Amino acid sequence: MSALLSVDHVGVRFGGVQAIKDVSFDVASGEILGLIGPNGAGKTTLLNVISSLVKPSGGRVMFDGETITGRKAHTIARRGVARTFQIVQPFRNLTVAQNVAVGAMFCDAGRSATAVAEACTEAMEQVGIAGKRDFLPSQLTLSERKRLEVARALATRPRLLLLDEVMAGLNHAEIERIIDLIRAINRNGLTIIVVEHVMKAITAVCHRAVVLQFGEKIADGTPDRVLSDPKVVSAYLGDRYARRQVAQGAVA
Amino acid sequence: MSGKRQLILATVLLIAALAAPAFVGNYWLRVLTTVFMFGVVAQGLNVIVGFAGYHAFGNSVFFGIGAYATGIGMTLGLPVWVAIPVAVAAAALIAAVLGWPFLRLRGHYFAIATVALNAAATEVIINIGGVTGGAQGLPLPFSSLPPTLLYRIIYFAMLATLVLATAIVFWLSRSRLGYALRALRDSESGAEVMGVDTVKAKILAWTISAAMTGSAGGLWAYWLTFIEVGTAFDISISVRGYIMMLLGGMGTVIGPVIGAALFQLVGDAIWSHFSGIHNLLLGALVMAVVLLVPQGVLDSLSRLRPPARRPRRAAEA
Repeated sequence: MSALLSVDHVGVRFGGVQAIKDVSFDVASGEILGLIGPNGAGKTTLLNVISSLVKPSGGRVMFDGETITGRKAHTIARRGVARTFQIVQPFRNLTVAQNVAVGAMFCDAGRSATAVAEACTEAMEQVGIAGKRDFLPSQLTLSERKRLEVARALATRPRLLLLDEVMAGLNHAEIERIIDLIRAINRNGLTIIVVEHVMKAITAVCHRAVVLQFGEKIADGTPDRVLSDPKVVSAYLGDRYARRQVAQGAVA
Repeated sequence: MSGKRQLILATVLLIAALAAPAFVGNYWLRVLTTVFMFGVVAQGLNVIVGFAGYHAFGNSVFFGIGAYATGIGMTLGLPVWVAIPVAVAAAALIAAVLGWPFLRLRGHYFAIATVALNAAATEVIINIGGVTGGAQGLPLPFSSLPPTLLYRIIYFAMLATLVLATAIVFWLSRSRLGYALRALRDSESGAEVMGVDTVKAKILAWTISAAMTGSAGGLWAYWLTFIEVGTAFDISISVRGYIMMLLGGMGTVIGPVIGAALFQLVGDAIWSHFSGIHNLLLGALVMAVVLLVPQGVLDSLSRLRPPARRPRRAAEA
C-alpha cells in the first residue's frame, strides 16, 4: 500500500501556544485511520492543516505525491480531500439537496446539471437522507445533520475523507448506523481519517490509530495495541491509574 | 413566494411601467423614474448583501463614481450612450481592484471598509478639482432634446436598467455563482472545503453590484445635469437602498424592486401630507418594517397562504 497522505513534521503555533508539535504519520490508500486523543490534543487543528483552513508554522502535508501545504482550501477540496465539521456547518438557507449539490457542483467544474443531480442523489441515498431532500437543515435531527455533513463531503467525490467527530452527541443506535456507513464508504475504496472520542467506534472501524496528546504524537498502531499502551492510558485516565494498571498486570 | 408567482408579478409590473408614461404627468414621471433608480441601487445591494451576506453600507460610492465618470466623460465630449457604459465599467473595475484586498476581510470589517471608501472618494473628487469641478460641483452638457421627450427617454432608460439588473439577479439565483454566494453566506469555511473559491465569488458579486449601482448613478447625473460630491456620494443612497431591499425581501429576485416602489411611493405620500414630520414618520415606518416583516413583504405575502410546502419555498429565495 502506498501513502495517499503524508503528514511530515507538522507544527502549528497559535501565538504562544504550540498546538501541534512535530507530528508525522502516513495514511495508506484505502485505510481508515483513527485520530484520537484527549480534548485539546490538536486533532481538529491537524484536520484544519490538512484541509488548509490553518497554515502550519512548520512541516508539510503531501497528498498523492504532491505538497499541498500553503494551497487554498478550495483547491485542496477539488483535488479530492473532503471533510466534515465537528460543529455542523450546513448552509442553513439551502435545502438538503441544494446543500449536497454545492459539493457536487464545484469539485468538478465540467459536471453537467444532470451529473450534479445524480451525484447529489447518490450521496443522499448513501447516508440515508434522500427522503429529506427538500427540507431545510434546521428541520433535521442532529443525527441527520451529521449525515448531511457526510453527504456534502461525499458529493465532492473525494479520495480522502476527514470525519471530525461525526458521532458526538448521537445515541447508540445512531452510532451503529454511522459505523456501518463508514465501513460501506470505505469498501468503495475511499481513504478515511476519523477523529472520534467514541472508543467503541475506533476499535470497530479503524485499521490503525494515531494518538495525540498536547499536540504530540504519543502512539501509532492497531487500535487494540494503541489503547492498551500505558502512555495512552495515562493520557486519558491519568498517571496514577496507569501505574496501578501496570502494577496489577505485574501481580497477575 | 414561488418563482412562478414572482415572474407573473414582475410581468404585470413591467407592463404597467411601460404603459405609465402615456397616462401620467411630469410629477409622476419623475417619481417613477426615482423608483426605478432606487430599484437598481437596491438590486445592486441585493447581490452583495442578499446573496453573499456581505454588508456594503458604503455602496453609494459606486453611485458617485458612476455619476462622476459620466459627468467627466460627457464634459470631455463623449456622447451619453458611450459615457454611461464607460462609467459602469469604471465602477466595476474599481470594485474588482478594491475587492481583492477588501473581500479578504470577513464580516463586519468589510462594511466599515466600504463606508471609509465612500468618505475617501468624496475627498479625492474635491481635491483633484479640474475636470471633476472639485467642491463647486460639475455641470453636465445640456441635451438639445425637448424636455418632455428627454425625460421620457430617461424614464425608459432607467426602466431598462432596472429590468436588466433584475434579469441578472434572476440568472444569479439559478447559477453556480449564486450557489457559491449563498453557500459562503451561510458558512464560509464550509463552502471552501466543498471547493468554492470564496474570494473570487465575493469579488465577482461586488463587481456586479458596483456595475449596477454605477449605472444608476450615471443615468442620475445625466438626468440632473448638475452633480456635486455631497449628493452623488450621499451615504443615504445606500441606506435607502438597504431599507428597500429589506422591505421587499433580500435574496429574492423581485423583492428589492417591490421594496423600492413601496418605500418611495409611501415616502412621497408622507412627504406631501406631513412635510413637517416627514422623517419622523418615515423612521417609524422603517422600524415597523424591521420588527414586523423582517423577511420582507414577499415572504409575508407567501405566509398568508396555507404553509403546504414550506421547506421548498425557503430555497427559492
